[in-house]
Amino acid sequence: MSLASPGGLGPAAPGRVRVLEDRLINQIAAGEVVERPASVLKELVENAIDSGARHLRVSLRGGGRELVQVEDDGCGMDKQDAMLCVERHATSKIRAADDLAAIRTLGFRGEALPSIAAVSRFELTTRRADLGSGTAVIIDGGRLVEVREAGSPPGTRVSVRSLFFNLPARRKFLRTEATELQHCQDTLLSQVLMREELGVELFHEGRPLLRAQPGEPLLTRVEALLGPSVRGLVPVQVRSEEVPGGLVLTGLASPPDLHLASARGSLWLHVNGRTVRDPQLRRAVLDAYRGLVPRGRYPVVVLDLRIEPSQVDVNVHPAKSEVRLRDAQLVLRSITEGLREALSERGIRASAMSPPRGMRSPSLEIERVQERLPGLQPPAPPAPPAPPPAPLPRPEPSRVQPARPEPPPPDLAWDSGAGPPQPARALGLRWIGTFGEAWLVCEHEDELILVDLVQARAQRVRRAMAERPPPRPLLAPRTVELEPALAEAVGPRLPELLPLGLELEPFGGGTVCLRALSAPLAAADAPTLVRAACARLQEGLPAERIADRLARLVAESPVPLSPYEQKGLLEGLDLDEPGLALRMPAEELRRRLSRRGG
Amino acid sequence: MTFVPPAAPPQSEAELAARARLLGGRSLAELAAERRIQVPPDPRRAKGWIGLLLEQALGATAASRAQPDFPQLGIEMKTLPVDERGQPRESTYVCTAPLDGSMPRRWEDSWPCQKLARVLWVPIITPSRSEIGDRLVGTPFFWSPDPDQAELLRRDYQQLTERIDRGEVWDLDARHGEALQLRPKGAHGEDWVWALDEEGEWVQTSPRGFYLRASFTHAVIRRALLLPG
Repeated sequence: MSLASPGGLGPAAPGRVRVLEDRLINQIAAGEVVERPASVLKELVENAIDSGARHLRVSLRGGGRELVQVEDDGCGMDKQDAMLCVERHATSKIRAADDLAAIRTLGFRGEALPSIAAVSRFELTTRRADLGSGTAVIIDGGRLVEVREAGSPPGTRVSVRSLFFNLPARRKFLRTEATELQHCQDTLLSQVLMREELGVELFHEGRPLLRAQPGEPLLTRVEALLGPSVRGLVPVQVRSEEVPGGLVLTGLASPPDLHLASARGSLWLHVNGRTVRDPQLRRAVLDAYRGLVPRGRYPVVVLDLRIEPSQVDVNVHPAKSEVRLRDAQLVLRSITEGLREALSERGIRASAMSPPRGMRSPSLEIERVQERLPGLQPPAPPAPPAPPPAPLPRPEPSRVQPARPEPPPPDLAWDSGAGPPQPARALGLRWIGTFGEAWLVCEHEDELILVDLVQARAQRVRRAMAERPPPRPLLAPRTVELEPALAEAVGPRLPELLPLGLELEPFGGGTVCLRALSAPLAAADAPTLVRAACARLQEGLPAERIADRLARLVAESPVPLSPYEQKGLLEGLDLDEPGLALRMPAEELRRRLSRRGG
Repeated sequence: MTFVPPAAPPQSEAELAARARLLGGRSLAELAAERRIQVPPDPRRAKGWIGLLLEQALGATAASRAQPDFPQLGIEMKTLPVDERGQPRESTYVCTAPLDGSMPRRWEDSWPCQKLARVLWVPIITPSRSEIGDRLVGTPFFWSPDPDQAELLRRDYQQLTERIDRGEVWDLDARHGEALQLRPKGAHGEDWVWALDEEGEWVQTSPRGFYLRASFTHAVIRRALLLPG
């Protein structure tokens, strides 16, 4: 029998088949384990959690492409273990094949660290609390450079620099800094969301992005990490004894009015504390919400499935993101039915289907339009909501009759966003483009929405300033001429502007010197900003009013926004702000266009 | 214009900070005129001249390059020419690199480490084709390497010195080193120093110096100051 040579290079010649070098094996393995900075982060965070850490500090640079660093205060390692852990298939977490059947730690394969070290500039510094000094292991592209004694606090710090520096082809496939950062952020969130005992900090280029204190209740933690757009999640707990060893599903789930347009950022699922992206589990959760949220929308859930380790195989995928359930049908059915029941106990049933927050239901919208427009008859009442929801009836043009003696102009049909039934946040607004360089055009479900660009920017600046970022020194101080009377009046009061983000000092005559500025104000023209702040200080306006004016000035600065930045503006935008958004339900648009067309 | 005599050495970091603060936002022509110093017409001579002007304004005393500019405070002053957006225009010279095998093995014992332990950075805003006198002094700031930066510098230093020790200095150029790099240093092409080659033979070569990459100093300034854009 002839033996085919590796790579299909023709008949094998003696000596052509070789056992690969360890370094090459690790580089190949890295192809499975290390896909991008986020996968490095995932492995490092898993190790930190498995080490019993109470606090994690994650630092990224260049979206993780330049640096992924995880510091923990876990058990640390002695020199021998530190050297061993970067060997392939070296792990402290399993010892025999039987252990695979009951894995309770997040990592176990023992291939992550050597794989990562093979494709980066890798450094591990670690110390066990009972030892006087620590150990540093430095590996460059899989080559051990140095092992030395090192000063270190108890715990471990792993720094992964210049990922794929020795594999240019792989590096080329990394995405933009923003995209990689987003992946890293999502990965970290999924790992730590439900670990209430774990303190977490995430920094990018030295700036804090995420922070959660250990010991906070899950709801507080999730809102702190995912942001105010998920406010309103309700606790759920499901127990089932049908599954051998029992099944407990705990966490938070969204009420019917909280749903997202994208699955990303909506389903945070864990099995025995391990983050999974398992399609079967996602389907089981989504099935529980069938009829509760509109089709194509996703509920927000943060859930952990606790199940006997022997009932689940996590060794299915190199990234351990999928699981194989021993009795899948039984477990999945328990999840769907149990979750639906838990929601039902909280009064959340299929009939409660609502539009997302900040988005009025089409029926409500039609009522409001009807109040304002001439010639509109109240439409037929919508069919009682039941799964699947019945489409809303379109009003008959023939029934149109004058409703008011003095009709308002037609453009009032656009709802200015006043008076929704509950506090609104824009969830999943889809950016379409800009109009007249002054409005963002976007859509959400059945609504076309125009957003005032300046006002949206001002809202963003106000929100950033509310966190009181300290002023940062300018590249060079700026002097600004004021009216002499104004300069004299506000001179002694200039320190009052410090909490508003401006560090100013008198500079002689009618001049003041701007030395430092908070970052959210940086886009504005500095002299205009200073004059406006000083003038309002002299008028005796309260700090909030001055801050509003400054935010407006920043928003009015003629800095063109890229589509990416425009989309970013829509994230978390509060559409309830008067005058911010105009909305046109598709139903209304169809009605008006067809009427004119006819 | 009032004559301002050379400043006496500052007695504390706070005093140095206060002096430096007063320079921020002023043009080099103003500072030179106050000290009755003529602005050189040739921009190629600007680098040394700017350093001397600022040393005089701040009270630096160290005539020898082997010790920090403010030896009593252990502080080195570094001017940093940047464009209007704060992007450094060039790499920053740190100190000469001995090529005769006398370089300490440990980063902590090295000249660059001592020079960079505490730095007063003085950005000089240098628009393209600007006259020397028109350039503005930016906001000066103090800096010490954070643990990450120190590790980066240490690693670069060790890799560079290992190769120098192996007689590979001729293979090293500005491409080596993430933060710290080795580059030819010498005002005149005819300057020579002795170095050991791969065979351990003494040979003459041009002097080299340690420099900080512009990307590194950009990260430093970006963290310290609010840069435009």
